[in-house]
Amino acid sequence: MKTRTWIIILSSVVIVCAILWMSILNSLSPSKIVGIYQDGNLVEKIDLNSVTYQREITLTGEFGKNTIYISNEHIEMKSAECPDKLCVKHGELKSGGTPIVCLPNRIVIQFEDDSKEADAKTGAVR
Amino acid sequence: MKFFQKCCILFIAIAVLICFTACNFDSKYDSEFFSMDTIMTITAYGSKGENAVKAAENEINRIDALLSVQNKNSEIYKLNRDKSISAASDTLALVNRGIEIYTLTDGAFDITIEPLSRLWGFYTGLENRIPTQEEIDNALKFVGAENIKIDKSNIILNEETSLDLGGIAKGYASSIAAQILKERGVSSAIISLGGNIRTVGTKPDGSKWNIGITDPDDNTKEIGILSVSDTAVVTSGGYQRYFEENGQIYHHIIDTKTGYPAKSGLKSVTVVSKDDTLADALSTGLFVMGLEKSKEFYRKNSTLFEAVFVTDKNEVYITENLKNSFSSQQSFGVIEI
Amino acid sequence: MKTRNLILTAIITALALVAFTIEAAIPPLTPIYGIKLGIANVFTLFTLYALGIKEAAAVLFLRILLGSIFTGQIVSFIYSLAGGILSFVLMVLLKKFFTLKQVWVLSVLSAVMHNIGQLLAAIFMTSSVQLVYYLPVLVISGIIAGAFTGLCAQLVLLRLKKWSENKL
Repeated sequence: MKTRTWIIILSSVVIVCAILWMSILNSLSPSKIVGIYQDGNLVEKIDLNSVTYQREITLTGEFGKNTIYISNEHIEMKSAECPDKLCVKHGELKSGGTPIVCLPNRIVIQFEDDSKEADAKTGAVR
Repeated sequence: MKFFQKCCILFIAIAVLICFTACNFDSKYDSEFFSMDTIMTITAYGSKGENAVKAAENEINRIDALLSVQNKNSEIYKLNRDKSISAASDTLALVNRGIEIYTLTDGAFDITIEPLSRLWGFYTGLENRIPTQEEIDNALKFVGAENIKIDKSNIILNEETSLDLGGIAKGYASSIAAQILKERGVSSAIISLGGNIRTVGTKPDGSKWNIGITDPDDNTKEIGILSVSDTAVVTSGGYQRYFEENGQIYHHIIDTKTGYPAKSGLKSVTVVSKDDTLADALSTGLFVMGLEKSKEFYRKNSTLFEAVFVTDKNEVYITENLKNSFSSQQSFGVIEI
Repeated sequence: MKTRNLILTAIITALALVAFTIEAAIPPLTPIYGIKLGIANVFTLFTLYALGIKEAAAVLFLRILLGSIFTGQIVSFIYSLAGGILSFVLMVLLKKFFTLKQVWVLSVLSAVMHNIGQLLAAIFMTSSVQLVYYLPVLVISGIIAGAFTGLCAQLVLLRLKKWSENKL
């Protein structure tokens, strides 16, 4: 295949991905419900709206401790003892947003979709 | 090289198609009908949906004709009248199941409740009223599954004992309906038999079904949503059928130990289980037991079911394994195993 | 493996390690895992064309193993390995479709594959499907980084054309 064809294909992939990325950023639900997961297990689910006092959660993994700071405005990874500290650099999450990830300690902080719609209702009046 | 080029173009075309069309080609078949004294809906996805749903509907009507307390041609009606019948296999199986769950729940769920429900007037055509203590005491003498004898396919009742399978019939019907849908090639369906929910497989897109739990104080609202697949979800609540007299509320879930509507401190109990019949029976049984006894019961039988409780104070409690499939706007407590 | 190839493989592996270690010392541009240049890929690509599949595999996997140990990031080993295996298999399978002037295209494809592999490993390790959100960014970064490292390898290969044609 000609090099030119490749350039066209690759640049169109870049454009498609850029559009996808923008639409992902836009479509992130303005949810205020945040889930903290370690090793894929839910550690805590918090509704930021209902947080009345600021607090910290400390999770320990193979690579030391991660401290998560929660207030009713935002959630952030305050400190981490893992080597790369990328999660700390991610900054604050307010509502919606791409998940904060700490790969070494396998921690994920992500917003949950709270706009679930019921497919059926149990216990309706007979 | 030509071939490779074609492959690439094809691949990209497919990728773009997938990206830009989020449509699914699954057809959907809906059916709403009236049976077992309530409104039922079955929704099945896929091309085989229509035939399967019709078959399931017929089967539910057949079970209703066997088990109804009110229908003069039903086996249960004849049994209650003659106190002895040679029963069809469905009736026999379900009565046996009823006795089994009676033992399991230590009498909290009881299919011999008919005389009590009749006294309180919870059958169509009867007036709701508060019975006298004497009437209740009399009725209580013949309540309890010990009064049922089963000999091969014969069911024999004590002279004053009568059965009402209303507490498990819908569960049984939904399990049979789900089985028929599956046998006929439906891999995605949701069945609602008057608020008894049964999910078959997952949604067509592979995600779990979201089942709202009715808010006992406001039927138009939900207290939370359960995400489940391939299970039954059944709720029993005092709000579903009740009458008011002298400012007191009398609901239809009667405690067969006292003969009065259960005062267990609960507004509703929702049971999640792979076993529809058990889910149906336990939703009533746990409601009668109350929260504390239910916790104990759950710890012993946590492999059988999961549950969501709403107390009189509007607190919500869920059992441990439901933690990750329950979402709610309000806070809730977790019952650990 | 000829002795000469063995020695060359060792030297290239060492060079790749140096490049990898230096890159690891530079603070990441974004808080998203997997967005980086991947200079070490230049050496794998070069070896693949100049020496052969076996030698390239040695350079790649030794570099991943030793690199994880040297930089103290044992964690990244699993992710690098997942990405490394996927991208290497892709490179070997598609190599014959690309001329020496198209090495950069192969590099782009393998870099994208590498990022996809890493993302899959991360999703698997954290069981968080939401990480898929990062896919578009990782694909774009893979294309840019792949083009850059690919061009580097391509320029070297073209300069050493006689060398590489005679298999050194």
